[in-house]
Amino acid sequence: MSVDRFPHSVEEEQFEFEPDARAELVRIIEKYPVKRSALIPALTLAQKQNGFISNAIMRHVAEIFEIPPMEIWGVVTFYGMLKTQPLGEFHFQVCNNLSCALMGAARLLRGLEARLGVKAGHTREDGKFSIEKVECLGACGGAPCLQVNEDYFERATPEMIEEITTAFENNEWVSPIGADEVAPPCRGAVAAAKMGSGIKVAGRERLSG
Amino acid sequence: MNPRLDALVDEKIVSGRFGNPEAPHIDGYEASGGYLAIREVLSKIKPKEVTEIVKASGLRGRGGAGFPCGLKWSFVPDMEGPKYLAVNADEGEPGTFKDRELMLRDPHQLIEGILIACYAVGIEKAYIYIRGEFAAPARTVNKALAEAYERGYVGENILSSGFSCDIYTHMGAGAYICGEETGLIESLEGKRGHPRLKPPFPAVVGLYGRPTVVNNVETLSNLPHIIRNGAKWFAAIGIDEKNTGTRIYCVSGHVEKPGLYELPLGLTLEEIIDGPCGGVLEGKMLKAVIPGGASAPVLTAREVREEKVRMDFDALARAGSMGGSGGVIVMDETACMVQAAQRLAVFFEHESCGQCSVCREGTGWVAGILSRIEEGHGEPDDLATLDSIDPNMRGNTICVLSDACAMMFGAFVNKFRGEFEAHIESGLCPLGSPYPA
Repeated sequence: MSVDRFPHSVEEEQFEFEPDARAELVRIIEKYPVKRSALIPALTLAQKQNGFISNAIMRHVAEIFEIPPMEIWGVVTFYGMLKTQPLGEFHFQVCNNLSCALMGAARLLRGLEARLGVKAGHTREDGKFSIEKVECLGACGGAPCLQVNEDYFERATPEMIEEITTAFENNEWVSPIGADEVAPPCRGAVAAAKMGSGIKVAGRERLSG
Repeated sequence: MNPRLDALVDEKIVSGRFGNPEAPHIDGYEASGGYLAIREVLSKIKPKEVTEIVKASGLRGRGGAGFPCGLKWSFVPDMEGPKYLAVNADEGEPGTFKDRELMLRDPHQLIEGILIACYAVGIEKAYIYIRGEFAAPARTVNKALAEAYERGYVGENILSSGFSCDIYTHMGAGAYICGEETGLIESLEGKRGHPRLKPPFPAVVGLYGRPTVVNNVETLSNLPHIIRNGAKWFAAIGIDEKNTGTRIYCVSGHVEKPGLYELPLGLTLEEIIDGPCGGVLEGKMLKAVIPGGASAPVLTAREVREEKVRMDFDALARAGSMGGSGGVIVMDETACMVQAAQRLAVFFEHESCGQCSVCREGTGWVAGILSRIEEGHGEPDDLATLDSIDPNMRGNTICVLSDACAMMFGAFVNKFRGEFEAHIESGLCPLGSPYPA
């Protein structure tokens, strides 16, 4: 059962989708013969805009879908990726399921907590970083694996953690090599390529703003 | 080795384009034989014949249950009105990571497979339910879909055949249970992903109450190859006529070369670990292997090394485990079986949807007991309590998550009982808690 891993929701004023998100939502709703199918994508969209699912979002989405707000709350609390509390600008999700555990996920998590000065399940006071211990990310061949925002970092090492956290502190985004590219062939070659040298991060760019 | 297996150890089917950087783009896909199968299907083969070809190929579902694919399709009633295909890309079974790569590296192969399935069953709308964390695979699939729409492979009147089919992606939001086919349907309808009571099965009453086929990414990705090369060709691969074709085994844990290995069904687990995977990590002794994702009961080194368990659906079932989703988790002599069971029990507790009390409470009890044993606070009758929980968690719930949890801890507790007893008696992990939670 998916439960809140963060303290209870914060109250704030109003929520409206920004024009782009509004248009996107219309496109999403059109995909389905029944409008309600767009509910979870709509909540994801709202979370992207606001950072987390606030009570105002739930009320607003309830109006759009003509569903009682309590039912929206029921959906929000079911899905682990829908958050009712703000996350850090860089949200680290560290897998601690079996394959990653076997390959040192616990050590990795402890190192990350120490490096960032925040415990799993919490957001750092400056809002920069948050850490969450998660179940299988579906990248077990690259264990131990962690996800930062949308990107996966596989075969994570303390050196890699140091490299990426330093970059994030300097407001640089670091993408793992080949996140969107095609990597070498199956049967071992995938793994071998991923094993390579310690740090496999590239594609740095300055974050705007 | 069996001659049926020899031929394909070095040949690949669904992962054949993994090394081709152009494959995710439509030109690259077409250049490597892509979309020829759907052309052939639309111009020469009747829908019912497609189902017969798939039945004759012996293709079984690659998502978990291993149910024959063509047979599943044939359960869809021949009736007017909308029918749906829900593509299960909610890959979340611990130890499994093939669908992610299939979407990243060969998205058009999946799209072509979807088209073949939809044509066979008379479906005009397909939804690819992708787990929420898979942002990159979703981007790749969306891009491929846009290309396929542009070339007229998807949409209205495909290749002037009169057959129309729309394909959409739908993102999940982080819930393992949505990989259960009726949980997936509920989630796709915008609700909590609570699995439905069966029967009726989705083939009859599925998405929006309509007949619905739910197929895994790898299953669908096989279809273009079966059409192009024929059912006989596919059925000739693999150990016997009930275990045909290849599987992408996802190997993780203590092996030299973890990764994806597409191999014919029927090799022994030992052949896979010691062959392409390069053996157990750092030459250590093998202790245990989970052969088909977290839900598949663990096998001991003896079963792997001496009984030489084969990795096809039926051989694994005979060995008391299952092929599941193809996730092979290898554990060497340093791994603590109590911790392994505890990690997985915590996972099942976390992912139980909560609607059946047997599962909601049972997974919690199991996780709690295993955690206290691991932490050194185990009580003398804990194993007896676990033994009594086990049968009650089997066959008593709406879906099989509860059964999966019971199969998992039942196998660990029975096969490694001495290790659990040692933890309880000494109040310590004899292996020094190699990987604390």
